[in-house]
Amino acid sequence: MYKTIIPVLILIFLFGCGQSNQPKSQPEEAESKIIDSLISSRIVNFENSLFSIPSPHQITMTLKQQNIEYNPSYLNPTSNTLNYTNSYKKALNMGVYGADLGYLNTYDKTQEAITYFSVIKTLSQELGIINSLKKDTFERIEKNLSNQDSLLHLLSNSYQDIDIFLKSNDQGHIGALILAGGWIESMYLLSRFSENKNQELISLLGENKNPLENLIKIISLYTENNRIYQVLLEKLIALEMIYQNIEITYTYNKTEVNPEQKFTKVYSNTNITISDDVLKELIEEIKALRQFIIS
Amino acid sequence: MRVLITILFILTFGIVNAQVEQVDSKVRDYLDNTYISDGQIYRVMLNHEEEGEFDVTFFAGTQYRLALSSTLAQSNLVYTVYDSERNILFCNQDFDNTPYWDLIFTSTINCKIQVKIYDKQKRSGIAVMMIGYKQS
Repeated sequence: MYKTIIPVLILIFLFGCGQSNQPKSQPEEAESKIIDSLISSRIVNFENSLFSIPSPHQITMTLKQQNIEYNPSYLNPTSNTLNYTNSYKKALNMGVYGADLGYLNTYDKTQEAITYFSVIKTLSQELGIINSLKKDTFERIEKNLSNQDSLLHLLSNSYQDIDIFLKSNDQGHIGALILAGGWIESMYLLSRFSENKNQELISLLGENKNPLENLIKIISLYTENNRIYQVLLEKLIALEMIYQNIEITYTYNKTEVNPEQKFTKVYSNTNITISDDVLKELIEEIKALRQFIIS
Repeated sequence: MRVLITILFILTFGIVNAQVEQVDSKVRDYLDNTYISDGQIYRVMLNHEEEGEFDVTFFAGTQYRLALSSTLAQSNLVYTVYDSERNILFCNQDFDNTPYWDLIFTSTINCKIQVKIYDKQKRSGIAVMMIGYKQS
């Protein structure tokens, strides 16, 4: 046994620490192949492009900034969890409840947040991703439900851990659904509150054209031989078609750089114009898409 | 022989995996506690001088922190933020290849973050990016 392991360990040591100028040796080539196999299972990679979906909290943060009154009737009732019997629905609605939890947290609704949090915990158990989280994560989240800032950090770090876990375990498709559910729910909340003609919210709705396109690219990676991804993709594309009618103009302006404080201020400007008809269409389509997910 | 290859594969896989996790942890530290992560970790495998691109929408009134590192030395990693018209908004090469930088947006903008790895030995590396945000 030792006769086998010791040379292996020596080999590992030799190329595990390989930072020399020597030409590429066989072990290095082997390492390169192993990295490739590791990577192919770990990242959502589409011709070396990756797509970002904004955190749902960024949207609920804007609702609070705009002094929009709290309205719990827009949230997905926790009783609906009984309807989610397959992993796709569970994943999509884990994203939905995550966005709702962000909304409740933004409006300091601790009691309601506890209920939504326990639903997320149950869904993560049922999806088998609870082990991706550190042992004390749920305990820490429970303790910080009334502390908005700490809770946000804990939740976003948990989503990162889940993201890594799913990609590492070849379950990026589940991660994609959690992302989709979160984005759709935040868009639903935004669209419902936009009905009151708040221009800031309407612009934010229009500004999500690019994140929608990114989401379409992510979901399209998993459509092969899977009906639920195909249907979801079709619905996202239908929404994107409405987005095509939004007028978006962009003007580049010079940036201001502060090297001491390591920041750049960007003054470029995007202008969004949405007609009343397009807005109405957009709101209806988002409503239907969200209904498809939560039903 | 097959046993040897299997053990070699498993151990090497573990080493590379641990290396990537170390980079994840380092990048997470760059966000520090003042920035909330967007909940995603972006990883891309790059060969020498190969480009990786990240499509990102930055929202108005928000301050973002971009944090990037790789499995190779920090000096090997170059990242550039472009707007939709390919104007350069920021490049870390102008600031000693800094691993993190803050960006403040007065209007919502769609950007591309291009990442490159330059290595004299032409090695491949894994670039890791995280995006943190807070109200500005």
